Amino acid sequence: MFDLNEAIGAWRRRMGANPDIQEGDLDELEDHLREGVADLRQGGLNEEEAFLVAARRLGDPEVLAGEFATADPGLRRRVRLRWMVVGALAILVLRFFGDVMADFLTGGMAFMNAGPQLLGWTSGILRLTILLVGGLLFWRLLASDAAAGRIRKLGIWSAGVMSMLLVSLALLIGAASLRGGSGWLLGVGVHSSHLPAMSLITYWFRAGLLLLLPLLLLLLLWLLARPRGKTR
Amino acid sequence: MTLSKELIAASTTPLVLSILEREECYGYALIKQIRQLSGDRIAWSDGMLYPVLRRLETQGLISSAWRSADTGRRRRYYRIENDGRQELARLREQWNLVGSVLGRLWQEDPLCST
Repeated sequence: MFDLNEAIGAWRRRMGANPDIQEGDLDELEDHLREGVADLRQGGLNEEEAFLVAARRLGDPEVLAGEFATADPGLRRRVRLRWMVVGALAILVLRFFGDVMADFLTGGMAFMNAGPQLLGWTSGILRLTILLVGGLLFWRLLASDAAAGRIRKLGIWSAGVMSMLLVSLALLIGAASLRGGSGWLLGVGVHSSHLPAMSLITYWFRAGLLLLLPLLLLLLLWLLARPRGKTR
Repeated sequence: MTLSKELIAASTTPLVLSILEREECYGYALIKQIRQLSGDRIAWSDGMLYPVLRRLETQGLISSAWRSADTGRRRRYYRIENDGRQELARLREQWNLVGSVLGRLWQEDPLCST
């Protein structure tokens, strides 16, 4: 027995497997398909025939995707960038979560008079576990997503790895330059009475960096999600 | 008689802009109008209209907005922008020119023989 909604669902998945056809385009095409089916039904075709004719009229998914890609050449790049930013934000959130958990743990263990070595080990293991669990959840999301093929075609894996590397690099460079900077300041002989002030400045700088980075990423995301302006 | 590929490609923009200049419209109704006006002789592959609409939107000639249709589904309506009107005016001049030259050539006596 022919089920129109099922057939349209399958058709939508075929169309949606192309990253150049956006979710909005899919909705629009589906609306078109349903209108076409309704019109053809009035013309006397049965549901299955009407669906087949209407789907055929809309054209081949690959050809259509190619047309969409040429209609807006920057689209792929923007979508990719959006995913990179989302990935970077996710890593920051996980990191933050790890920090908070580790702080709690440290507090609790200090309360129980645990040695600093044990503290270091447990907080390290905890952070690593949280990152791993986050990664696993992301993996599950990709595996369960009906649009997994679409994501893979877009090269999300390489984009994700790139964004992860970039964020890690930024954090590393930031931390190293902070350490290096404070070490240099100590080396050139800051008077010891200034040290608390120096460490406070370093602390604020670090906090500011940690606050600004997600804000910058959110701004970028907003810019990417915004409807496109006129190009002329 | 059907139009050649080249002519279809060239006429798509003026056709779409001309319809949208009269009223805002969604994709399916646009195609239907063109079919009816041409007596089914200008028949695009339906899907091809949408990349064209996307291109016109990227160029700022038209804009789109989602609204819910009487079917309950959401539907994307297109409207012409000022840049689109200007572009349409330019295109109208060009097509009128070609049309009038061809018309004169096909109606009047031969010009080259003396």
